[in-house]
Amino acid sequence: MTRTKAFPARAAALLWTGALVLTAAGCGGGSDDSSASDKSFTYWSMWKENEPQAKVLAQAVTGFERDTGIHVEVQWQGRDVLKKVVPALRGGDVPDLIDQEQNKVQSSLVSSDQFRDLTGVYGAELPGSGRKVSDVLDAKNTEQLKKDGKAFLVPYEVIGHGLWFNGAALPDVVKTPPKSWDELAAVFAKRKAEGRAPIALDADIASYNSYWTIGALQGSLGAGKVRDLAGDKSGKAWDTPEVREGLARVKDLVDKGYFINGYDGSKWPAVQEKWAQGQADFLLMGSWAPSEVGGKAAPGFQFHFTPLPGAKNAVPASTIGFAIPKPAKHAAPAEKFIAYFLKDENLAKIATETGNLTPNPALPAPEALKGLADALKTMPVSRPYDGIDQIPGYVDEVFHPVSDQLIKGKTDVAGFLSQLAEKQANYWKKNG
Amino acid sequence: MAVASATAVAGRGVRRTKASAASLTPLGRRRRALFWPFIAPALVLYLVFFVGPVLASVWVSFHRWDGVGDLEPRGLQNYEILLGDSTFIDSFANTMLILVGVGAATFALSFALTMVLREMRGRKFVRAVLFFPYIVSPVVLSVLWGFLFRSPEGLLTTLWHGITGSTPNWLGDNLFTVICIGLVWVNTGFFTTIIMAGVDRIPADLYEDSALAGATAWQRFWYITLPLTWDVVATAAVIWTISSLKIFEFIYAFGGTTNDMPTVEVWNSALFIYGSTFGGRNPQFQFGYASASAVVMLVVVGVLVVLLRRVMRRAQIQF
Repeated sequence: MTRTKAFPARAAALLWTGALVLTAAGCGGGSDDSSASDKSFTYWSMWKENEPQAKVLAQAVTGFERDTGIHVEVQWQGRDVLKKVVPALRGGDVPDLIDQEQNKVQSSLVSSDQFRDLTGVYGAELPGSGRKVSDVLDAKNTEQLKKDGKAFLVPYEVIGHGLWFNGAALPDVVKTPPKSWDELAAVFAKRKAEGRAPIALDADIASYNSYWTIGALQGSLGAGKVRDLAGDKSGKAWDTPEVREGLARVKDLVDKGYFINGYDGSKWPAVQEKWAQGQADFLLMGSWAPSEVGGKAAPGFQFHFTPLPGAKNAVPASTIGFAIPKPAKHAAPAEKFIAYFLKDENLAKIATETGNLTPNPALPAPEALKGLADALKTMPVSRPYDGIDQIPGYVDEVFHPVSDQLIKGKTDVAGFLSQLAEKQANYWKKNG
Repeated sequence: MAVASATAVAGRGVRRTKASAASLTPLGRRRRALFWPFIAPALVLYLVFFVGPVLASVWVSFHRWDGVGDLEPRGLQNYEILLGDSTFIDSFANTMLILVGVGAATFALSFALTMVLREMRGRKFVRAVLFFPYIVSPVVLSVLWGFLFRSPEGLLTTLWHGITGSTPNWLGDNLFTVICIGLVWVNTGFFTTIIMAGVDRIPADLYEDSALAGATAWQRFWYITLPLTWDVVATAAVIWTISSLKIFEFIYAFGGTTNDMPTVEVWNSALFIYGSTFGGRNPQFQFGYASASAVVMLVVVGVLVVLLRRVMRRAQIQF
């Protein structure tokens, strides 16, 4: 009997221990009330700690803490930062500052109206310079960063898209870049006839395939028109002569074998490394391309840029920048940090140490990106993917599967249009 | 499976306790006193972490919810849309293909290996080697498979070219087939180990006797191995049914890239649920809709497991 009596007491102790463990675990994520003053704030970054941008930001954080006495609690979350912020918005324990690409911020914080208006930051002074933040940022980059007049992002890096090639191997293209699609097709045809592979493409990455399809369509239709078509509930609005013309150009590239052998069966980054080794001529990619393949490039490789030409030409460009979630408790010191980071001495490192463009046109561009910087100054700007990636899940379920088939030669223009119409109608039925 | 067996054990426990309590023997009274202290911790955890979330999912499935704002009642609309959603139907078809096709191939291969390994020297070592893919992270495996199958310079592609002279485009043309082959490869070791454990229990003299009687290898398998391991196979089939519907990482890592989900052509229902919530460049955060698909899959799993257990029910053979 003694054992029978003793056991419930033990069991009760076990249950209490379990309950305490669970309670402790539940309390683990709680915020520290001692940080409730504006002497510190939390920053969740889209970079991982070992990336060049993270190193530049970390240096700025150290300087900011030294100069202002405000502590910055940095968490290097990586690219999925917004996927972690959205559930946090529900829980109420949100970071005070985040950074990400503008389309991603727009489709999460902005679409759910959970962003803080950063107009005040644009009007703030760059510490110690006598200039305002808005004075140093190119309006071309910032005019897309507003919703209903409220600024949702302050950019610190610009990404442009277009054709990259080795200037040393293609001096004629450097001298007279193709101004129309036909001129570009003529360059491809000439290189193909010389036994070269004109285009490099890692076709296992659906978004890289869509650079071609959407790029050709933007050239035929003009900026913003592809985004309009993606919003059509029936999916039938795509069937126009201009769309057919744009798609036929892409199909032509496939039919003529301009893409490097094995492009549709490889695993990224195999093909872009082949391009860097000189096995193919052109790579349609964002401005990260030179720094991404830098170490693999053949000796003497000179990175050059030319926009993907089209009748209605523009350079697809977007920005990466800071945003503040609406429920952030320490927005004021976070805003101070944004202005601090945009000082020339900090921002210039985005160019010099990470090899990317900054939104301040007065700062020098990295050598490999000079062509892109010039194009951004002289040409109109459009959105990468024409902004269709802002529609949540649309590219994954609707556009990418069909675009993949066109690029891999598994469907033609008519097949593309009928499949796209079916998938798009299906998408809007559940998301409308 | 853990859930099913826990329930079964609990059920048996209740019956035993009631029966012994009725007899009012000292042992019976002690058992009754011990019943709740033993069962309560597991039951509480089970209710909080399994039953609670399932009920919450059913509740959310009748709403439109982005995970941040308020729940907006939708009645049965999520289910109506789901049944007409070609992406869901295709994902569901892929799930069933994996369940039946990959399952059949895995079990056939597991039995074949069991038969070979039964009389083999060093079979414990071979069994460990076969089990290895099951314990390695699917993400690592999928990277390895990428190296094997990429075209034209993948290891297997080069080997294939050397033998046949052709260069197949495995990843471009047959991605789902390659994924299915990968899943067979990953799972065979696990099921071989389970089936071998069943086969090891069969007395060797039954095989010797049948061999003396002139039985062929097939007859030995059909008349001895299969009937005497039937309960093990039935349990393994339930394990496979449940786990196959939850396969996620291998497909995600093999077909996906740093920013994007794998192409919808290879999605199964687990990827569909992820794609409707957190997946992709700009996630849909459709928690209501995804919950509806999760509930549908839960019902499918339940029905399949019940059917499977009925189909595979046999009188237990004592030996």
